[in-house]
Amino acid sequence: MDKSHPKNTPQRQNWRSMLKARPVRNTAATTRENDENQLCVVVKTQKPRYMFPPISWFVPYNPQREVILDSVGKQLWLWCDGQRDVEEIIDLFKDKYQLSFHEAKTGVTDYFKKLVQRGVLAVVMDKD
Amino acid sequence: MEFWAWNGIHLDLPDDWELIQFSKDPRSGRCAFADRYQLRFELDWAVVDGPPDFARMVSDYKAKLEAEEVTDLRSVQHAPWYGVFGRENKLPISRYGAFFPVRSLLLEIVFLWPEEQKANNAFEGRVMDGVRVPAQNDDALRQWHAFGIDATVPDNHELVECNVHTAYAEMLFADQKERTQETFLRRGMVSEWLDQPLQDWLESKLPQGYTVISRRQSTHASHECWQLEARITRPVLKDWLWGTRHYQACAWVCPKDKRLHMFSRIAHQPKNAPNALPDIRMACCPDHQRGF
Repeated sequence: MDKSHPKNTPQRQNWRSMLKARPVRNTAATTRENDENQLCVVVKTQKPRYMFPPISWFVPYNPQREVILDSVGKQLWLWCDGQRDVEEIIDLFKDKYQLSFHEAKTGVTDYFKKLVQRGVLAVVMDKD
Repeated sequence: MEFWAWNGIHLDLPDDWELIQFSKDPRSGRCAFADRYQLRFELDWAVVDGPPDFARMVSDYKAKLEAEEVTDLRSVQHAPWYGVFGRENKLPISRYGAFFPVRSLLLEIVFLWPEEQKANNAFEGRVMDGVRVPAQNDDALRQWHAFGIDATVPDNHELVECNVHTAYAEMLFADQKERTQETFLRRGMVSEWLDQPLQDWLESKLPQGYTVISRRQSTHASHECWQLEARITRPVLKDWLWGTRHYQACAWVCPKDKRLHMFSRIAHQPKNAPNALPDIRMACCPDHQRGF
């Protein structure tokens, strides 16, 4: 920091567009609940092009991927109905667990990132 | 307005502004606050030798901003704060600086106004009036208030670690020689993870190599607190030199904010002065505060 002068312009971060995005469940995913109040989301995986003999004799290929969601994850998944935007889901999460907005935002967005990486969730951004 | 205390700087900010970036260095650092959509406020501090020449500082800074094509530039003042207002890419920004001789601190604050809002001088004035740098009190204690943690620690203890994530905030303080360490923890979503009695959970936090010497339970203002005291099992040379290390911890779940609060201290306790340690305190709500 320059001690003799006020600092240069701070970086203007704006999360508005991210908060207006809508998380949408993978329509091809199937779900089932287990005894421990967890939700198992199953998505089909694409067979990699290199998966032919002799590689396929040694490298296992699973035609589907299972993602287990705990009770908190299950609640978030249920809120992702394609209608609610990320901000609304953060507000629901914040109110349910008595969190601050940014606390809830960090948890929800990190969780959504993981679900997107695993192919069970997509995020729709508005054009504008 | 919500109260914040960081590194001996006290301020009141709107309830929906949250601390999202921070520095631990007491000599020079920065805290940034955001509302739900963007950064709104920045606080910078630096320990300086004496009061700067604000008139020159402001004019130099204005010249610099002019070169950077910041428009609508004008000097602003709200004693003891001197500042510059300008528009960067049409967005209004107000920057102010003030010197606080109590701790020889130069503070700089920046208000970042959203596109759809005009800079509000009255609001900025209220926030500036609320910035305080209290002098050291007789107890030589300093209050920290951030992420829902309200901690009071010795003035010369520095924040060495601060971990914050969803429903979890932890602040670790230590003296310069790290002979005394204090930890303050606040955890939310308790029903989701606390699957044992609180006293057992508190005992599970006991550092390795310590033996419990006492357990206590007390209730105050509907807060059921569990307290634990332990001593290092196998003293080493430093325990002979500085006194045997003791561990103290206290935990409770606040019925108001529904969060688990816990604070602990590891300190050398000299045999000839067992109660010589300075106070530390943690508060969860206006009704409840604990300390040892």
